[in-house]
Amino acid sequence: MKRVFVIALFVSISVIISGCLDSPSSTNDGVLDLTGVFVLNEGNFGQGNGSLTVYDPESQEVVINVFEQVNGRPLGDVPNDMLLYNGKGYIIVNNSDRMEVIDFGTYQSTNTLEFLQYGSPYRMSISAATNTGFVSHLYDNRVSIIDLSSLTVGQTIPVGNNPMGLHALLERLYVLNSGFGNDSTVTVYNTSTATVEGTLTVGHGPAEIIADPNGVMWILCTGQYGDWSDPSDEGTPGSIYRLFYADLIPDRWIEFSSRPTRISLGPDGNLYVVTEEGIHKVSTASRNTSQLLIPGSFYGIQVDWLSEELYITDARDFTSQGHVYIYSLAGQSVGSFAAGIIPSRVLFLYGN
Amino acid sequence: MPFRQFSILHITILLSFIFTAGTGLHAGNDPVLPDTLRPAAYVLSYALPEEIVVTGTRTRIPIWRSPAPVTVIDDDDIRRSGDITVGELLESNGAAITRRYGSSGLATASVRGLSADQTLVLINGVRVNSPQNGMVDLSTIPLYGIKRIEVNRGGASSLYGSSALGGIINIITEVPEDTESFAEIYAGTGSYGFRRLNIRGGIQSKIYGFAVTAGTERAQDDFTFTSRFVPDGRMVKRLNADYTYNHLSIDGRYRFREERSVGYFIRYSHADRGAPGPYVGGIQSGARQVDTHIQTAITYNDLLNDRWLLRITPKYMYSKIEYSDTGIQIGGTHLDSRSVTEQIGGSFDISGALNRSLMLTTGGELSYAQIDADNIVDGVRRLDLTTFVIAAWDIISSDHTRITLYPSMRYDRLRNTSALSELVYDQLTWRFGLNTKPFPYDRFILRASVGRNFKAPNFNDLYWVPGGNPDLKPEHSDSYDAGFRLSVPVFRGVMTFDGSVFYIQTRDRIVWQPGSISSIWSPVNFDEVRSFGMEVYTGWSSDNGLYNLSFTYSLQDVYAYYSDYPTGKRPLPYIPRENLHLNLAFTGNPVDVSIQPRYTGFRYLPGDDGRYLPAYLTADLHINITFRIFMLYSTAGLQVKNIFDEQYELIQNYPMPGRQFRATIRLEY
Repeated sequence: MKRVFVIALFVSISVIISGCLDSPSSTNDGVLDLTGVFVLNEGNFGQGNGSLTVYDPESQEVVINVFEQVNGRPLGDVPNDMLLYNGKGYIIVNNSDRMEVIDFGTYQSTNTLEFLQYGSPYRMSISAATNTGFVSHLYDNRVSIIDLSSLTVGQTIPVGNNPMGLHALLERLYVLNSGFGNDSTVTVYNTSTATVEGTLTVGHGPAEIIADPNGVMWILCTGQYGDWSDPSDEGTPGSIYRLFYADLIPDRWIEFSSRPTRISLGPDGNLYVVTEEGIHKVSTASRNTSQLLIPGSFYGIQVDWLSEELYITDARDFTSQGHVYIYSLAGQSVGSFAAGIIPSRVLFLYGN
Repeated sequence: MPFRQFSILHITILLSFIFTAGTGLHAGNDPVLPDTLRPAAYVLSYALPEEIVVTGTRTRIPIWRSPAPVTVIDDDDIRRSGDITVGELLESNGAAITRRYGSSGLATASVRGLSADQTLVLINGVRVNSPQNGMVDLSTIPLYGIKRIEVNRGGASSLYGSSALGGIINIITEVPEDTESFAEIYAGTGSYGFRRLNIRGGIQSKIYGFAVTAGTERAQDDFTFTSRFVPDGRMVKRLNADYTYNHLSIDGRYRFREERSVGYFIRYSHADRGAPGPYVGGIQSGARQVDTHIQTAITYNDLLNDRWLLRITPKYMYSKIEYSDTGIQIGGTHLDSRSVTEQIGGSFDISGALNRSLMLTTGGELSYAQIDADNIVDGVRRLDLTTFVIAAWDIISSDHTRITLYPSMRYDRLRNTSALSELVYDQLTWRFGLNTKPFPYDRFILRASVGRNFKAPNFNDLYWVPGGNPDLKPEHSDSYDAGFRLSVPVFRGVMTFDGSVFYIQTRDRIVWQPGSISSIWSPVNFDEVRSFGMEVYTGWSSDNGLYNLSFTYSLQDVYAYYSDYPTGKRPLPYIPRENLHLNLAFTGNPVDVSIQPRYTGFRYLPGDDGRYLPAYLTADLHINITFRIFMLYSTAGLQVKNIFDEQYELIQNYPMPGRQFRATIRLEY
């Protein structure tokens, strides 16, 4: 019961500080259930076959392309991010330059925000305190600030090269400037003063950022790929940096021998990282401590705190329908279900 | 020799050649000079003259003698179409499966369900497939100045080498064959800012002739279309789809003596166009692409005697493609790319009649190609050395029955070198063809062929950075083909039937797929493709030549087989299962009218989720009126393309224009 309470507390904290997850719709008896799993499938670039898959963990039923099935039109080209917030799902559709807002009870599209000035929206973060969304623009080196009440784009923030992940925490917005491995900076934007507070240096290719329940930031850097035409240039290794809110001094926590791409935090205090070798478990308590938990080739990962299970996506050959595998935190296979083409992001909906 | 010096040297040679051609010193003869048919005529069973095709056997033979089916798009079809590029014509004519990335984008063609890089494209018999990607962008080959296009179906690597797995598209330019000088101006205007201006003139005699052709075509192509990616269903205007094509070509012939002649062509084309990319909602790309191509070859014909002909054909090809997208920055720099490829080489062959029943052609090719491109490793070169022998043997030939065998064999050695490695491919290909007249009726033949073909990996496959795979093997195919051709008098005209069935099995198909996690795509020898289908042609021409009706239908099933596929197989994308094309033409004087409806069946999309592009039905209408203005022979034309205003796509999310009107005027002196 205590563990359930801690989990519920983390979920609630996540909502308050980042708005990444929707508030549990019911906490009548303090017990939450996983009522739905959303899988965002990128589809193939230029083909407009991105999709949203819904998986019911109780009945194990899967609807591969629920958005098109309900709305009668495709979700778009390369949906890259989705957040659940205030009863709505916000889906960032990268190559269609838009954000779809859906009711995640019915999956009906309630609104569509088209990005007309800066395109290639990539990742989103929400500040619940100000009801504001922040969207990075992958090829325009900008972040748009979105009023979620009116669903309009306001100011845009110039940032570094090819911004990918971003995270709003209290009055700060952290933007990872990946440069596809050629940049290594994090833009720190103060949302209350509307100024850039500073630019931090981390490893090459900062791409993903998550916050733990203590407000500590964990930044995944893919590393630099090196000069493709020079086989002897292996680039720089991938890494994870730790960043405290108070001092804004990035601290290299671990370096990888194989390239990391995705990251998720587990309830056991470990980071679960997709690398070229498989799924690595990285301790947040002990520096430079990692273990190859599940060897294989995977694409995305998300930890469900309630069931304490890993949801790992497999893009297979990137043209066939993908799969989502469910593992325990100990690396034991629990189950799987089918998804769309290139399943990427996984989100959980809690209720009772 | 440094790359740039190499280019300049050869361009200088070419310019010198053009200059001397202009003075008539080298003005020469076309490869289709009737005298070059004399060795073939020596073989008794060749009933010359009649419609001659050059693609099926590498020598000039009647279409009724070909061991493989050949579709001919002739001068009349080309003139009345009003189309501006070979890619546009092949789409509207239906002679090949055409993939066009929008109205102004990349256009490729293939036959029998195989891919564009498995289809060899020739200009006047000279290979023009890019060594970089194995394909030819037919949107950069202007149609003006083209006399004829032959689409030869079936594998033919034993004749032409790599890439001839599905078939061959031979584009034949218009060479002055008459004895009078001429001049022509051709202008047009039309929908979406379409404009064209072409001029052509030539001087000729029995000894020499040359023609200069120049032109420019441009359009905004800012048509509107519907898209399923627009939530409220509003129409969308296509942006950045404009194009400007400029081109110049010279074709000529010159006869040294009675028995010696040269024919030559040089073609320059420049295409500056937008590259808006697929429309999937959102902001349309502002990317641009500029292509510059030079293609030239000289054919020296020496009729050694009444039975033997020597041909030597040096060639030079230059291609530069520049792509720029200022809207995308990666690591702080814009997404730009540039590639320059050059090919120099040539072929020689000697063909003739060993006796009254056996024709033999033997020779070789030498080709050297190099590339300088942003995404290709340094120092990439390819040297091809080949030798071949081709025979046409009438094993039985009488008034009642004829059986002709067409065996051919070819050996190719391709040596690829780069700063990283050296690769050598040795390939032996063969074909055994048959054409027979089984009954004492000249207009009924049966034909069949079986052969082994190959396609070498191209520069992108081997050396692309990142992802190129130098361990690739060539693709191989076994092709089987059988068919018939029949003509019968029907209702004051002649009706012709032509039918074929085919089966092509391709192994070690090269497929690009992403790496395990880095998403870097890389080519591998992946799976096996089986293409099975049939083709039917029925045409009727009235005896007075006024009416022509034709019906063309093709059916093909093309699947890739691989053990890891959930169902074990997967349809190849963008291959229509069915194609149907009608041509109804009245060729009167002064009015010439034709309408060409065509139906293209559904086409599967990439992936295994069963998605497909829907079938569509469209039609083009052509009306031409001829009249005289003083000394000028004039033709006013109206072309209505896509008269049903069909919204369709040949490649997903690349919309094609709706109904378009084009008005043209041609003045000939």
